[in-house]
Amino acid sequence: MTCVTFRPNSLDQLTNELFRRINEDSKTAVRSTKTDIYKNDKSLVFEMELPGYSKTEINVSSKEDKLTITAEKKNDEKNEVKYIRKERLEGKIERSFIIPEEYDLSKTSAKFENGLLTITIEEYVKQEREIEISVK
Amino acid sequence: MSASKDIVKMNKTENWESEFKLNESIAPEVNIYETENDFFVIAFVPGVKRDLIKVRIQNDKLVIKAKLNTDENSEVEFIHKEREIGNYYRELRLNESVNQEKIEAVYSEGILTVKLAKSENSKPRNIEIE
Repeated sequence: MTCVTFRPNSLDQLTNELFRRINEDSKTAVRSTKTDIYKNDKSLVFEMELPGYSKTEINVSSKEDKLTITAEKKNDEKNEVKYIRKERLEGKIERSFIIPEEYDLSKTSAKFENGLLTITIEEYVKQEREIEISVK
Repeated sequence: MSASKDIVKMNKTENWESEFKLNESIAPEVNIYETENDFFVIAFVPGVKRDLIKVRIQNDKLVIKAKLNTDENSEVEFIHKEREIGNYYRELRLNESVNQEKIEAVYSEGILTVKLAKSENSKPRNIEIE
């Protein structure tokens, strides 16, 4: 059995830490956005719904085998208005995907049209390699 | 029957509305806010083209219809699917605080913004003190 010593100071710290995290999370409001993934001829295609963002507010990046999409409103002018109904939260969005090794993340292209982000990742080109080994 | 009024004009050669099936449609999310003189309805309709959106006032209701072009992807092999298939349809009942003669709609980057002017008696007004 473990004996837990009650230490008000550390409990305070703990709850503070907990609430700080919750506050931070709701500020950045990280959440997902609907995405379809399909295979095309020689590529992998992502279609992600990002209504209301402009091209400059969307960032697509990759690191090793991870593809990350972030979107954030630069300046929200609607701060002064009174909301009557809010079915969709607008804020920062971040989403990552691990890409299978047969696709080449260095050959990624993206376009944004009508609130829909389309990302295309090309397949690795299998190079025909032939090495002659001399037989002694 | 009350008069219906088109706010966003569409391509007349295409009659996509007739093939619109209500039971197969998606209700887009809406945010509604107000300013001093207007109400704003923001409908999230990603993936649709501007000329395939119809906004109208019908029997005191704001009706939003948008057609999604899904034919392009019919041949592909989906690995993961989150987006719903169908067209967008949403209706919102308007009360007397909206001036139905003064409605404007704008579409940009997957968002339809409908501006509804407040009727005169629902606007805030200052009363002069004599």
